[in-house]
Amino acid sequence: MTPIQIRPEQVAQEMAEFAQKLGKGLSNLSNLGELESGVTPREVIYSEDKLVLYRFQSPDGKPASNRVPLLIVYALVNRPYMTDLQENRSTVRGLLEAGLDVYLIDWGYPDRADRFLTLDDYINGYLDRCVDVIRKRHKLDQINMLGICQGGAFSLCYAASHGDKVKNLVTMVTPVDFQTPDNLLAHWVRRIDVDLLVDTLGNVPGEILNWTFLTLKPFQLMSQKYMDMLDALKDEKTAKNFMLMEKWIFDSPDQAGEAFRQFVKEFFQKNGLITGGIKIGPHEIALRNVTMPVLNVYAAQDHLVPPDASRALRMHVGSDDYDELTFDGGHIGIYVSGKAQRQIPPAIGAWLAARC
Amino acid sequence: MTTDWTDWFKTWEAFPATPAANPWNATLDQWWRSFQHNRHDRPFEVMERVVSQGRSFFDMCQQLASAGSQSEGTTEWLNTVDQTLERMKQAFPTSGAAPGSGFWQLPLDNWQRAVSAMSGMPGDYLAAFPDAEAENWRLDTQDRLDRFLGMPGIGYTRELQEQYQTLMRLVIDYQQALEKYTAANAEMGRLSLDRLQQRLRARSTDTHEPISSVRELYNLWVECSEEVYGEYVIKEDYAVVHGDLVNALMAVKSQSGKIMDEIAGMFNMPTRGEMDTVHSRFQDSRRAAARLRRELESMREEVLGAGGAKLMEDNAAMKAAQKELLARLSSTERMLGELDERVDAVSSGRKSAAAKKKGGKGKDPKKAKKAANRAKKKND
Repeated sequence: MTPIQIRPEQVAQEMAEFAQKLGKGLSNLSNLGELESGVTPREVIYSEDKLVLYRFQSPDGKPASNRVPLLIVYALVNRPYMTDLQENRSTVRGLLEAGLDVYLIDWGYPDRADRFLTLDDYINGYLDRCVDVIRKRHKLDQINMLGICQGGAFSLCYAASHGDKVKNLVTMVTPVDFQTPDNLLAHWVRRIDVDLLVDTLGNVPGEILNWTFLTLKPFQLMSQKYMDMLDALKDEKTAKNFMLMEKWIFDSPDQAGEAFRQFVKEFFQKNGLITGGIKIGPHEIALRNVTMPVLNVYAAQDHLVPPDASRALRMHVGSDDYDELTFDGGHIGIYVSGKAQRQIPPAIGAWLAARC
Repeated sequence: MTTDWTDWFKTWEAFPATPAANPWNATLDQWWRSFQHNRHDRPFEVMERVVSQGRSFFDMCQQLASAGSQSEGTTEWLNTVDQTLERMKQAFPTSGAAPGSGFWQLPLDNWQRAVSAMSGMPGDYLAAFPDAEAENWRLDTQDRLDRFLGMPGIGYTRELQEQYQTLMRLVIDYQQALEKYTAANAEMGRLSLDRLQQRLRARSTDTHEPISSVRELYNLWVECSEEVYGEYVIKEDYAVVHGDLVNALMAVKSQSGKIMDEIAGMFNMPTRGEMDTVHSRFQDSRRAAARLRRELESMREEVLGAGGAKLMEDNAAMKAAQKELLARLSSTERMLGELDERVDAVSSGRKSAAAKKKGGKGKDPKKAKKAANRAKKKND
C-alpha cells in the first residue's frame, strides 16, 4: 500500500478551501477593530513608577466570602492580562467567583531608566510595598499570594523572607528546579554570557525573549500555528480569540537589565532555589523557610516549565501543609482553556477557604 | 497512485522542479497578489505569514506527490519517494542558509527577525554575501585579513582605528557563529527528511490508513521536524552553537556601542556610558529614598500606634507627677511661710521685750537673709 494517496481533486479542493478560508479570515480580521484585553472591572489601588496594583471587582457585586485577600504576582516576562483575557477565558473571574478578593500586580514596561532595578527592588521593594498596602487596607497581618511562572519564583523568595506577611501561598506553573534534564530553556541559557548580554543591551529586549520562546518549538509555533489559524479565522469570535492570544504572545516587555542578569545567573545557571546561595537584598533565600501552607499547581504538558521543574518544590519546601494540583494541559492552556476555567480557580478557592 | 493522479501530475512535468515553479504555489501567489494590492495593514501582515506557510505546505506536497506520479507499485513508489527525499537532503549545504522551502529556514528566520527588531541593522545583512563565496573568501584571505586587522594604529586616531579593527574581527566571529548555526539547522533539516522517510516506509507496511490529504501530509512533516529538532537541540553541542551565536552578536553590538560612545564623546554628546552612570546613581538614590520613606512611615506608625500611645501615657504620668510635685512644693512653701511668720512673731515679741529692755528696736540680719533665699527659690 502506498502511504500517500492524495487524489488530485482532493488537492484542488484543499487549495480552494485554503484560498476561501484565507479570504474569509482576512475579512474577519479586518472587522475585528482594536483588541481589548483585561475584561473584568478593576480599580487602581496603588501605583509606583511603572507598577500598578489593581483590585478586581466581582462581576455580581457580591463581597468575597474569603476575608483574606489574594494577591496575584505575575511574571516580568509577558503581560498579566493573560489571567483576564476574555469573559469566558479569565482566571481572575474564576477566582472572584470562587469567593476571593483578588488583587494583581502589573509590573509595566520597564525602559532604560529602569535598567538598574534589581531583584531586591522588585521583591523587597515593589512587591513588599504592595503587600503592605493590601494588609493595611484589610487590617490584616497576612494575605494570600498566588505566584505565576517567574512570579511564582518571586513569591517563593518573598514567602521565604517575609513569611510573617503570607498566610497561604499558591504557585502556578512555577519553576523551582531549573536544571531538570528536559528544561530546554535552562539548557540553552547556561551557555549564554549573561554579563555580556546585559552590559551590551542594558535592558533585555522583549524580541530576544520572543525569539527564545518561539525557538523551543519553531515548526509548530511559526508554521503549523498559522495553518491552524485559518480554521480559527472562520468567524469573528474565534478570530478574536486567536488574535488576542497572538497579541499576548508578542507583547513582551523589555526586562530590566540587572534583575534579568541576577535571575538568569542565580536561578537558571546556579539553580539557586535548589542549591541555595541566592541572596536578595538582606535575605538569604532558603525554601525551608517557606513554612505556610503551599498549593503547587503545574501543567502536565508544559514545554516552558516542565512538570519536574515545578514538582521539585515538594522536596525543598519547609511547609508541613503542601499540596499539588496537576492540570492536564500546557503552560498557556492553564489560564485560558475551558477545562482550566472549570478546574483551577474553583480548586484554588476551595483550598484557600479551607485555610482561612 | 491512481491513474488520475499520474495524469494530473504529468502536466506538471513541463515545470522545472523548483519551489518557485510549483504550480500550486504559483496559483496561490497569483491569488494572494490580487488580494494584496497595496495593502500593508495588520490583517495583511498576519495573513502574509499564513500564505508564507501555505507555500511551504503545498511545496512539500508537490515534491512528494510528483515523485509518486512517476511510479506504479508500492515498492517503486517508495523508491521514487526515497530518491526525491535524498535529492532534497542533498540540497542542504553543509553551511549557510537552508535552501528551498521557507519551512526549513524557520529557526534562522526567527533569529534574523529578532536581530532586526533589537538592532538597527537587518538580521540577514550577511545574506548579501553568498554563503559559499563568503566562506571561500574568508578562508582564502583569513591570513591576510588577520594581519591587516592586527596592524597597529598610528597617529591621533590610533585608538579609534584599533576599535574598528576589533569590530571587524568580531563581525567575522559572528559570521562564523552564524554559519555554524545555519549548518546545524541544515543538518536538522536532513535528519527530519530521514524521519519522514522512515515514517512513510512504516506506513506502507503497518496498518495505518494512507495519507489522503495535503494537510495530513503537512502535519506529519511538522511532527517529524519537531521531533528531530527536540532531540537535536537538547544536546550539549547545540547549546554551544546557540550560545556562541548569541554571545558573538552581543560582542559585535558591544564593540559597536563603544565606537558610538567614542564618536558621541567627540561631538560633546551624551554617551551610553554616561547615561548608565546617571541611571545607576539615580536608582541608588531612589533605593535610599524608599528606605528612608519606609523608616519614616514606621516611625510615624510608632508614634501614632501603640508605641505612641505609651509615650503619651508616660507623658501624662510625668505631667501628673510634676503637678503633684509642684503642689507639694507649694504646700511646703506655704508651711515654710507660716513657720517664718510664727518665727517672726515669736522673735519680734522677744525683740520688742528686749528693745524695751535695751531701749531700742531693729531687724535680725540672719533672719532677713533666710527669708530672701526662700522668696528667691519660690520665684525659681
